[in-house]
Amino acid sequence: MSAPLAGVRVLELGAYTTGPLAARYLSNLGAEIVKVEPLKGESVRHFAYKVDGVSYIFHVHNVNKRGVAIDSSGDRGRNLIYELVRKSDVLIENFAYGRMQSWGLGYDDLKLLNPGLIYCSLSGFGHNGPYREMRAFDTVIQGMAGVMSLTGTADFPPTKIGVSSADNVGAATGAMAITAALNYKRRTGKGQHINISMHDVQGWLSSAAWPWLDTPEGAGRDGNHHPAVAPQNLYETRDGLLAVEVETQTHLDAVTDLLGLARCELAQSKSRESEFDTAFTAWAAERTTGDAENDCRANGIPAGRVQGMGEIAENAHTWARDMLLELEHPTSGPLKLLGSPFKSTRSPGVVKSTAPDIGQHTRDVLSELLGYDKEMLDALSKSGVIGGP
Amino acid sequence: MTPEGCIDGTLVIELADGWSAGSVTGRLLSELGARVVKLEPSDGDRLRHIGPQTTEDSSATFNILNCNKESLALDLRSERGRRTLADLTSQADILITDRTTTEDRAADLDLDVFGTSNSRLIHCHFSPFGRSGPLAEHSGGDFIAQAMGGVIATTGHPGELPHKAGPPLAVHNAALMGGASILAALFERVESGEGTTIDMALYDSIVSLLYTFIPGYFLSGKAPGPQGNQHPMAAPWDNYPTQDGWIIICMADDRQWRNFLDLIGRNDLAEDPRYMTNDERVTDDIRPEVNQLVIDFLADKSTEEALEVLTQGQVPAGPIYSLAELLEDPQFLARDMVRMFEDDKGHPFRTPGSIFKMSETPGRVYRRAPTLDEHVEIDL
Repeated sequence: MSAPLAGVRVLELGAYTTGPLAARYLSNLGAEIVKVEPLKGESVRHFAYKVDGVSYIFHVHNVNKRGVAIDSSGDRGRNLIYELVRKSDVLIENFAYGRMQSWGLGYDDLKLLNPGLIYCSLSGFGHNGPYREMRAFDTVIQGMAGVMSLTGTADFPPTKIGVSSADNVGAATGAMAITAALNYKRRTGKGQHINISMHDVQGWLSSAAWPWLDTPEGAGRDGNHHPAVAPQNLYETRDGLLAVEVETQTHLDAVTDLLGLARCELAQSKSRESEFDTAFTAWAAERTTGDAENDCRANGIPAGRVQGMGEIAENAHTWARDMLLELEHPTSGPLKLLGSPFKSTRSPGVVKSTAPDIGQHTRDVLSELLGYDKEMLDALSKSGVIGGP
Repeated sequence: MTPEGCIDGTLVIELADGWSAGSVTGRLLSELGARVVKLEPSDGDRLRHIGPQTTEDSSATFNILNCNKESLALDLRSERGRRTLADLTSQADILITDRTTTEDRAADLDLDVFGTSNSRLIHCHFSPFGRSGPLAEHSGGDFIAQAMGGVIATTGHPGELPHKAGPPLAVHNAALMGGASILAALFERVESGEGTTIDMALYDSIVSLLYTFIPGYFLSGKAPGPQGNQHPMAAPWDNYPTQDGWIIICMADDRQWRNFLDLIGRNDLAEDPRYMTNDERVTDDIRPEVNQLVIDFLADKSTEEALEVLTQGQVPAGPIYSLAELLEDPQFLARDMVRMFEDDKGHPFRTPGSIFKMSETPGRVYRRAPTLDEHVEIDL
């Protein structure tokens, strides 16, 4: 079968991560993405670690997309975008609040052209509220949403999550909201404005800790422990670090049996945390990570090693799940890229083409969607409205 | 008038305990208009028995996560329980299952049977490692996924033992990805009339977050350890000391760097090839130098003073808030992200508002979490 969002057209006006990533997720689900960039390309093309002058991260974020280069600062370029909007189901943008409106590309402008348009804005703080004008990157959001205050230990300053949590989880939220809105549109024909705030989303992430706010211990940084259940921690083995996580009574019984300790109810386990940690530390210190992992699993205890980028890249499971894969770029050769997390019996997730060069598909897209002929395209190109070969 | 939801009339059966991806997805789908029936064991979801404000069959943690849902107690080890489950799923649009839950409550449950009895069913199964691949059958939750998926290895301070992300990042991220996958399948079903089975792995969802580490690793074999609060590909970017606390400052592009130089009266450095582009600033030699410029700039300022200057100058910066500060933050409140409900005994609790701010179909949080088996008289 075709992928679930086959036939859905998404216009992406984004830069850096959140917008482009949300669009990539939709492409993994089968949507067609037209990425609109300024003539000099979007900002992330110039980021560190380059392949033939183009940032590697641009390649990671922009698989499956067709690239169109348009100078939207003038009327002719803007009108081209208006025409593309008429032909699209979804628009994704992640500019600072007010930027799109200043270009005549705000939701109120575009819904007049296409009432069925699903217009998704992904921004640091959303399009309303007192902070909407604030500029933000990932770590600013993690800091202001309480996430850093919950990460690490009390001995150190608040700590960010090593991966870009605000960017990525914001993008996933956009992808889920858009697929929801597509269902509504299919039923009613109506589009709408989706107003996602990365700050909302990181604050929502922290909600598991909200109940502890009103307790004497409060909600703070407690390393690798779980606030209500034990044991959960990292233990040093002879050659690495083992993570152990108890979630259910069955897991807890397996732990106490393995360590030769008295059984107890899951709800009481937290009060015995240091006892469990001491016993597990001694147990793990005598084993290699591999042996400890196997012993735990054989006994029904959830456990796993701490893997860095190198171990993940070498783990056969990562490749078996197609979460890392290699695509052949037409000029830069083979590139290792991220796969699709969306796997179902009717569609394994779409990863079909490498990221576009600047304006690589300008002519294809404008002729296919808008019916422009060569003469018109030459004229637009000559006057600097569009870019690409 | 109650606003419409995106998926009004959709019936979801949720078989997921704890603070799991399945349970988070159930809540998210309910915000979008679905009717979500949570199937609990006869002694209740395990979350009902842990954490603060735990009463007979309820806890603050359970209440936060399970607003909007209906509850039905069902013993899946019994013949009758299984028959009821089969009846429910034959009428459902969406079935959510979660490995920890099925492993604990019905180890021999055949997950593939549901799709055969209801060809329109969209079944999303969450598991730590997915249903295929060498690690397929292993157990684990958020912590194991963070450990094996690269979050822990990169979180913490250089030279120290690493730490997990404080919040359950793997669970929430997988829940959103599962949600997107379910909603895409629902969209497609309108035309094909056919359901599908989704295999959503916490591992896959968390590996999807590694994009900032892939370039360095595959180009030069660099795999970062705990990196404090710096960014592997941008500088200056850190948590810096002020006179009275901390401030986060992030500069990812050269325009922001020039804005900063302007603020500190060092426009002479703007054309200095050692600092001119981010490519140079992230190198091991130059990063400490640009960090020092920021530290010097902050030396005589409070966090508030520094924030005002940086915001004016269009340099991304922010304070670090505790959870208590977040819940009183004017932005978070203006976005309706803190909602109050009372449990069935009248005790108030807070729960997050919907992250789905949508003009026509805003996500809704409209009802307290259910008591155990509250909807036993359920009429589908």
